[in-house]
Formats: sequence, C-alpha cells, structure tokens
Amino acid sequence: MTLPHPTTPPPESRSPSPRPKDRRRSQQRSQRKSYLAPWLQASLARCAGRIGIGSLLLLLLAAALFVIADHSPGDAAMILQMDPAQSPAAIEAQARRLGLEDGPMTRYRDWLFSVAKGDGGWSALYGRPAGPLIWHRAENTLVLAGLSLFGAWCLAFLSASAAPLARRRPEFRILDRLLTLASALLLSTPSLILGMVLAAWALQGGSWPVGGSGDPELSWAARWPHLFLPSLTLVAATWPWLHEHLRNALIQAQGSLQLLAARGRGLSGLRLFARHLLPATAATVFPLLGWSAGGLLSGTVVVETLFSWPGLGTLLVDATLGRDLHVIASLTLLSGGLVVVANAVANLAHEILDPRLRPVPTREPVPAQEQSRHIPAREIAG
Amino acid sequence: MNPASARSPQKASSGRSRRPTRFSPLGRWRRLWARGGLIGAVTLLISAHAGALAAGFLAPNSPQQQFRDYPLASPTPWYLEFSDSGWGIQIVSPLAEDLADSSLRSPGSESMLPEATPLLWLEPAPPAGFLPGGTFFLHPGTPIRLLSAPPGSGPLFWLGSDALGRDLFSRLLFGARISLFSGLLAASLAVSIGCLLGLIAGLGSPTPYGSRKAQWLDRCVQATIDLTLTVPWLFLLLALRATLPLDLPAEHAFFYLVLVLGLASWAPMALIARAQGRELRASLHFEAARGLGVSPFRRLAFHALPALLPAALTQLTVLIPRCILAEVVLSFLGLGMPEVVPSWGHLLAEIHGASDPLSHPWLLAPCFALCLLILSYHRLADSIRSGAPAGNPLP
Repeated sequence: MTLPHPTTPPPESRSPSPRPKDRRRSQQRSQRKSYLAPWLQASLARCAGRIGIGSLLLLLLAAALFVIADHSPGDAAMILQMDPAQSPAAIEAQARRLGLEDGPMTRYRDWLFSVAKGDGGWSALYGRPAGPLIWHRAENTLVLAGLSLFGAWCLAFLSASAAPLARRRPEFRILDRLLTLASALLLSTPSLILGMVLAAWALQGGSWPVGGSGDPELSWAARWPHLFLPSLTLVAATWPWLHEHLRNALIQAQGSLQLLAARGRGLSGLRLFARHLLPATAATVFPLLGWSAGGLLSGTVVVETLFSWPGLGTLLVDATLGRDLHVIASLTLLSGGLVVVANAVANLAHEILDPRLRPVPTREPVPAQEQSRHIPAREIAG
Repeated sequence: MNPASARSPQKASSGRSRRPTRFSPLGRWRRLWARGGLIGAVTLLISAHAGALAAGFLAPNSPQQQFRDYPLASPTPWYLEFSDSGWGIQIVSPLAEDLADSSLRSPGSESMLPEATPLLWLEPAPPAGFLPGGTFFLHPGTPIRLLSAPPGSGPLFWLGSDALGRDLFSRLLFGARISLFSGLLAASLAVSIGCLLGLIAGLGSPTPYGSRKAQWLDRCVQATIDLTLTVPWLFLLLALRATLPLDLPAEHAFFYLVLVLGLASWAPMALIARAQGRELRASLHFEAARGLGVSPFRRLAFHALPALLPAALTQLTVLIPRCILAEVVLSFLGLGMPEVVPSWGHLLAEIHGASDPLSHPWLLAPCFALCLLILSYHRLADSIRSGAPAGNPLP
C-alpha cells in the first residue's frame, strides 16, 4: 500500500474523460432506438451483471472444492469399499466414472461439461447421474421453502403493523409488546430445538405426520398434513427476524417527513398505511426478501433432516457423509444460484418499483430562439 | 423553529420516553430491570464458561460412565441438613430395584425405602478417561471432585440420566467445553480474518490516486466476500466440511471444526471492516500519520485496528452464538466431533432418537441450556450494539 499523496495530480492515463473509442460507442448506443427508459435499461443491465458475476464466482468456488478435496485423504471409492455388497469391479467402474485417477482440474472440467449438459455430474452414492436426483429433490425443497417464506412474510407484515398502530391507539400497545417479546424469545430458540420439540409433541399426540413428504403420486394439496410441521418450524425460525426488521422500518417510516405531509393532507387509516407507510419501507423490504430466501435455504437443511423430508438438505447431508463430491458441488452451485437470482430480482424489483431510486429527470435545454421569444411576466404586467 | 424538524424521529422518540403514559409494568424500576437483564446475561455467560472449564472438578461422574441399573433416572432429590457439627447436602438416592419395578414393590417392606446419605466434599476422583492422552478440551478430569456420592449409595445425578444410564449433568458440562469453546474460538478466528482482510481491502480500495496492486487486492477480497455471502451459510459449511475426511481423529477434530467454522463466517466482519477502512483512509488523523511517514504496518496495527474495535466486539457477540449453533448442528448431523466426545449436538441427537422425550422432561436440559446461552449472547450483543450503558431506555 504505497499510496501517493492526494495533493499530487492524478496521472494522465486515469483522467475521467472517456477515451475516443468509448465516446463513439456511447454515441452509437444513444442513437439506437429503444422502448425502455434509460434508467430501466441500466437496472436490467445491473441485474444481469449481478447474476453473471455471481455464477462466475460460484464456478470458482466449485473449482476450489475440487482442489481442496483432492488434497484431503479419502474419497467416494473409499466409502464404497466399506460396503460389503459392492464388488471390486463395480467400485473400480465408479472410480473411473468419477475420474479419480485424473487430476482435480480434469475432474472439474468433466464436471463442468456434465453440468452444461444438465446431468450435474455422477453420484457415486446413488450410482446414477446427479441431475435427475437433484431436480426431483429440488421440487420438494422449493415447495417447503416457498410456502414457509410466504407464510413468514404474511405473518411478519401483520405482526409488525401492530407497532405503527400502537402509536395511534394505546390499546394495541400491549399487543405490540407481546409480539416483540415473542420474537425475541423465538430468535434465541434454534430451529433444531424447536423442530425436535414439535416432532416429539406430534409423536406423542399422533395427530400430525412427522416423517417424509407423503406419497409422491398425490398432489401437494392432498398431502398438506406432511407439510404442516416442517413449514411451521421454518416459519417460526424466519418470522422473528423479519418481524424485527419490518417493525423497525415501519417505526422509522412513521417518523419520516413524507408521512407527516400525508397526514397533513388529511389522509388517515388504511389508505395512509397501504399507500404511504408501506411503500416507505421499500428500502428494507426488498433487500430483506433476497436475504430471507438465502437464510431459509440454510434453515431447510436442519428441518429436512429432523422431519426426514426428501429435499436438497437431506441430499446434501447424505452426500457429505458419502463424500459424493459431484453432488456437493452441483448443490452448492444450485443453492448459490438460487440466492444470487433471488437477490438480483429483489434488487431489480426495488429499482423498478421505488421511484426515489430513479435519476431525477433533467429538463431539456431550451433552444435559443424560444428563449428570446419568452416574455417575462413582469413586463406584461408593466 | 421548523415544525417539521421538531417532529423528526429522534426528537419524537426522546419526547415519548418522558411521557408518563408509556407502557411500563415496572414504572421507575424499568431501568434497573433492563440493567438486571444484562447483568444476568453476563453472569450466566461467565458461569457457563467457567463451569465448562472446570467440568472435571464439578461433574460428579465421568461423562462416559454407564450406570446400567439406572436408565432414564430422574434427577436425584437433595436437601440441605444443618446439624451441630456443621451442614451438609443429603441426597435420597434411588435404588436400582426401585426404578426397575416400583409397582411390584410390596407396601410393607420398609427396608426397600431409599435412605438419605450425605454427599462427600473434595473426594479424590477415580482416573476415568474416554480418550487416551488428548488435549485439554478432551481431557476428562481432575484428581479431585467437588461433590461425589459415597461409595455405598447410588450414583448422583443432578439432572437425571439418559437411556444408557449416563449422567446428563456431567455430559452437559463436558459438552459445553467442546461447544462453547469451539464457538468462541471460531468466532475469534472469523473476526480476526475479517478485520485484517477487510481493512487491507478498504485501505487499498480504488481511488483516483490508489496504486493498481492494492486495487486488485481489494477486488479479490470483495469477490471472496460476495462469494461467501452468496452461498447459503449451512450449505457452505457442509461443502467445506465435505472436503475434510469423514472420520476425524478426536484430537484434531476440534481444531478442524474451528477452522471450518471460522472460514465459513468471516465475510460479514470483512464487509464492515472494508467500509470502515474506506472511511478511515479519508480521515484527517490517518492522513496525518501517512504524511509523517508512519509505516503501513504500523498504520494498520495502531491506527486502523483500534478504530475497528467496537464493530469487532459487536460482530464477535453476534457470531459466537451462530458458531456454537453451527457446531451443534454439525455434531447433530454426525459431521462434527466423533461420537466418543460428548458435544451438545450429540446430546440433542440422543434426545431426537429417544422414544418419548416429553415424558422424561429432564432429558430436555441441553435444549434449555442452549436457548438460555443464545439468549444471553443476544442480550449482550444488543447492549453493545446500542452503544449505551444497558438500562438506557431503548428508543
């Protein structure tokens, strides 16, 4: 870090004016006709850039996994050797499929090609391509996580709106206090313990199914009791976090000048809440949407293991126990990709829906002749 | 002056706190209550860590010793007895036959009734180990124990026993040694990695005058931070764990775990440190130090790091419960410490595997311990984050 003193003039090469080539390109771009507003184009480009850079980084992480795994003792073939039912020939065939004789970079390249084809590598544990395995499990996880995410957000919106309500009506104050206390208590109860106690309670009562996702032939609506306990645990793990953030955002928005102005114009009640207070919390809500998707995916690992839900989390734990590197790398790619897309889309939605983020429209410069024709009001009056 | 500024959020909240109609069940004692919460949390944390360190001295039994005659025994009843010679703790130890078939016992047989026996203080402990050799974290005991049951009576279970007849209290204490300290060490590792990388990146982040080399370092660090924040945390942890061998030797497992946990959770701290570094680089005192010719290392160590201390402390208290929980989850899944070493994750896995834990409520003691611990850490983090001495009414 040998930084030159700031008073020294910047070198010529890094002057802020664009190079002639760049200038030409930007002129071409502005001449092209487009139906989208420039700010919308910019945010779409930013969204695409985020997804692109995110997926590149994830591929780098996968490469790092291959290299580290190559340096640590033990591999999938060693795990298979512990199984007496496997013949040496079968194990050797598996090892050849995984390319265990080659270097880590060759294996990584093969895995990449396989991912591009949609196979997602070869699972040594299950003895078949990892892709169909993962897609089948991903549906289960997405149903569970999506339902819990929806439930937690609805609940958080309802519970957090008790705070602005309590400010106007004292009788809601005790409700707000109780909800905040409940969220603080739930925040320090790990989903592991909550799920365990719920499972034990359900086993004792025998009222709810505790394991598995039911008969896969049936529709999700027919086997909703299987969804109940896992999604309840996930909602209880996500809600307090959302509640705290939303509550703080609502309280802050309530003290803002724009709400004061709206109230000054005589607005109140539901219209003030839905059209003025809720949109003012956009800066909290949209980033939180992306982050809650990531947090929920983390949470599914524990909950799926507790309720033996056949999803990505149980697959990941099994793959880790069996050192099934291709499945682990594909799962990391998929889960990271989901979070990258969720974050990028949440950002895009924020930029589209929040007019405060758009650039201030600059007035077109008035042509010279028009300027001269303009007569000031003072002269007319005089 | 301006009516709008008089209604700004800070003013409004401070005005509200003086209003007498504010909901407060404790009235003027509210401040003391809030401070009491922090004092309670800190006391609990200190005693938990001290108890974990002194587990060999405090635990009445070895964590691996199986009292086969006492499966699922409820906590041993005890009472204090005062006599002329002093005072002592008496326990009413359950008889083994008593547990086996209490319904079949004939009502007339007085001799079967358990008798109260006094506990012994500071008795020498039998050398019982679950691992030969081992480091401090695995070392099973001390030459003496604080309290132990006399040889003739039954075993002493402060918190009951599990399905194999092992003392739950001893297992909880020894498990705390693994779980609490792996969380503490992993969080310290994560915070130090995050501080160093984030500061170096932030101080070298691109400016019109910055050097190219520092910019590249900044970009690399930023990409790594993005990557670590992108993948869901538990997925990253499991992927990192998957690159290690499955059966870690017990002596090394602890340090491998700390390493994996630390490597998975340094990103938020680095993000904060980077932002602070950028701010710091523009500050006057840092500029003055550079102008006076202070070396880059000295600037980093004596000018930048102390400025980062409050943020680092907050991040540490936030990260420790997360790391403890992550260790518990890993051990629960069978990917953490080996089975011979009691960790809280193994205790939770045993509860999950038990047939009916709710009818033996003492089995849930590790759950309560974990929740209380995390609650205390959250309370500590809250009061550090709000920056105020605890007891200040929160806005």
